[in-house]
Amino acid sequence: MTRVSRWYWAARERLRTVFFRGRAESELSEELCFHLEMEAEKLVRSGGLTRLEARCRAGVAFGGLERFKEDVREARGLDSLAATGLDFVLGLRMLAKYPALTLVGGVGMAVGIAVSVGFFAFVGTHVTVTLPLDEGDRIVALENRDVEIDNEERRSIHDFVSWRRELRSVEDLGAFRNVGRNLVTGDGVPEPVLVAEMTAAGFRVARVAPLLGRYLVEEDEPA
Amino acid sequence: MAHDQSDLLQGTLELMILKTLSVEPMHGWGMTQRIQQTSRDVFQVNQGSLYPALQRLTSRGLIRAQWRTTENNRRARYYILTRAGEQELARERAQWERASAAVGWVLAWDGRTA
Repeated sequence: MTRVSRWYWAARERLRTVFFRGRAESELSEELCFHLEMEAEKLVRSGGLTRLEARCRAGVAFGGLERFKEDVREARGLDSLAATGLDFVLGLRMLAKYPALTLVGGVGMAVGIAVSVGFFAFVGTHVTVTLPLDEGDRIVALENRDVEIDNEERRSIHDFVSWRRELRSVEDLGAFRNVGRNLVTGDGVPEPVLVAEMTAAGFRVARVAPLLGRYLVEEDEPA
Repeated sequence: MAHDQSDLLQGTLELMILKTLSVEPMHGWGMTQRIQQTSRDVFQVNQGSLYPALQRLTSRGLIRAQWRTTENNRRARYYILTRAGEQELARERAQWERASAAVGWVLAWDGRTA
């Protein structure tokens, strides 16, 4: 029950401070003025001062009212929230006060957004390269890079095995490397050619039918 | 010798406010006078410390504020101890008595083994 009571009074005070800030501020001013007046009356009674002198002396002893108000606002702990709300209200008022400026700013922002969206749409449609394969837009390249020499790190067969075993959101994962080989054709003259050595998954990813024979499968890889 | 609140240990002012309000609801100025009077002029509470402390206690739900009319027919903001404030006062008071007794024992030590 005590905890509920404490929560209730604390919440009530905080809500009042946030939603009735103007009222809370005027009550704080009234409270501090009351304090000042009581202090002045005490000086009149005990010090034999006139009312005006007492008020002046009490005011000097009290110090700046604004400083105290600032300390109280800080103690509320909600100043940043209230300040944000005030900024928002002031912003809306300025927008309403200068409609031409609001219109120009709004149109400017709209044009800016439209140009940006159009640019990215153009780049996405005409510049982004899609592999010329069936569903080529779903194929991505993964590469390890050595940041020290700013170049690719090719010694990554262990990473490839780990990725292939653990990745769940990727349908197929293959690896390849380009190597030079000698190709001996029917006339017996060897000819150097550039070929790709690849894992079996590469054929499934490319979805290109072999000209002869069949796809390689995982069981062929050890060979 | 009068001290203002800056000489007090952290939290002591709030303890004195809770104790003062446990007797009767009171406005800020009344509290400064009551604390000065009951401390036999040892403490003069600075208003710059009092009102932020009152705000902290209000925000914690330990006291609540209510506008009332004084005996001089003036509108003033009175502070009232809540039930949570009563419990907090009992807890803080026990802690204070334990701490002050401990300081007393240290100061009373005459150099021999305790």
